[in-house]
Amino acid sequence: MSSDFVIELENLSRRFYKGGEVINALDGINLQIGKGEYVSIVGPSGSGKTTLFNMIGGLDKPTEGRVYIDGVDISMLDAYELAWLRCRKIGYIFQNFNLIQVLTALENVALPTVFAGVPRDEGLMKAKKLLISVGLGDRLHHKPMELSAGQQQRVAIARAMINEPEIILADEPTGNLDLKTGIEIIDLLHGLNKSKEVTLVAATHDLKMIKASDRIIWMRDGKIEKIERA
Amino acid sequence: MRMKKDNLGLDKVHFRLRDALRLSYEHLKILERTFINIGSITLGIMLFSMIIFSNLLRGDYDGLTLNFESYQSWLIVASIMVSIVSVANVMMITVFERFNEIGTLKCLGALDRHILTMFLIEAAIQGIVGGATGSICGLFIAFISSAVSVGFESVHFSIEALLIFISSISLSIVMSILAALYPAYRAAVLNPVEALRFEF
Ligand SMILES: Nc1ncnc2c1ncn2[C@@H]1O[C@H](COP(=O)(O)OP(=O)(O)OP(=O)(O)O)[C@@H](O)[C@H]1O
Ligand SMILES: [Mg+2]
Repeated sequence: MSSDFVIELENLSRRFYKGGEVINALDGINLQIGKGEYVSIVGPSGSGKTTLFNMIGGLDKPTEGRVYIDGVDISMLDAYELAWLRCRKIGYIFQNFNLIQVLTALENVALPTVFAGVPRDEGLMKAKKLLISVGLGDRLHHKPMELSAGQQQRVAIARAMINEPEIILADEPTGNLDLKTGIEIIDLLHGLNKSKEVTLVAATHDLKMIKASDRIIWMRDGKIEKIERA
Repeated sequence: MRMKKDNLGLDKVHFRLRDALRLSYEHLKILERTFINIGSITLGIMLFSMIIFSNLLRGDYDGLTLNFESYQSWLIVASIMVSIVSVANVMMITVFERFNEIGTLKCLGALDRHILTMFLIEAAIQGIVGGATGSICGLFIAFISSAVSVGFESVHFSIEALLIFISSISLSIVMSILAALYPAYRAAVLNPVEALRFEF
């Protein structure tokens, strides 16, 4: 089996056991995502979107089934290799931005280059360029608390991009933003997806975000309900 | 049937000491916790160094043999234990407050031992500063009390004071790292998913 797919999920299940009760957060998911694709994951609260992201991102282990990134079964990776995968292959974007509060925008964006072993000056230079490209050239030395929500998400996007990952996983990236800012963030992500050929997988409730995507995966109760091509 | 790992071009992740120091320093700049920790270390070390400095200044010092009177040893042990517990307590709170950061760092490529290093560096720096302030305070108090009890003219100073400084600071670093060991370990083994689910 060749792997033209950046992400492949094979019979993926994740169960939680809570007080004698079994929760099927993910239940037999099969999905293939190609390079440069923009996929929206849609579904009601509790349908398993975040759990799915955690699996793809190598943050959590499936109960059953496999996750392949670039054709490699990530359950075969040890802790060091997983860390490297998170550092270099995948960029994470969260609803609540998750910026490091004590660091400036510039340092936040440069942080992944620290783990990638890039020399400091080079990392900071790259971070500066990226911040300028997301429109924050005049906010380099601001701390997250001194930035608006939309600006914080831009910082987070720049941080996710800095190691030139193949995949961006965005979990409700516009969930904490107002309408206008949300649209700007969607445009930014969409633009990066097209210009950098980065594969974008985004969980969202946001119709505007769904419309921009190549495919829409509808989830319910841990299963894929339907897949639509936009 | 599938690709070998090499297809990913796997390599190492890094966390240079300089970068760990820099991140620790940014946290230490948030002064409340840092002051509480340095304060407890200062108090613990102050008593230790005060008693030795007193012996030195009154001229009955015979090397760092720690020949305290037994009540003095108990006081020192007790005060150091109290410092350790207090520092451990504050460190634990710090770790809880930084769940989100720890989870995020792990998403960005941090290994468990990178997180461990970061917290231990913070502890060590607090240990150095607390040890320095503690022994300076100890010397000061010892000087005043010796001057009062044996008279100003019979207070001896000698080069051994330096040795007492160094040993106080060493003790302080060990103390501080000991206190941070468990909190730092808890932070290091934190599962990133759980760390990021945790909301205040
Ligand atoms: N650590 C956990 N322990 C127990 N149950 C969990 C855990 N994590 C997730 N679940 C359960 O798994 C199911 C899927 O959760 P998940 O967070 O993936 O949903 P979601 O689609 O992201 O929802 P939302 O839109 O609200 O973010 C839920 O029923 C949730 O309660
Ligand atoms: Mg979710």
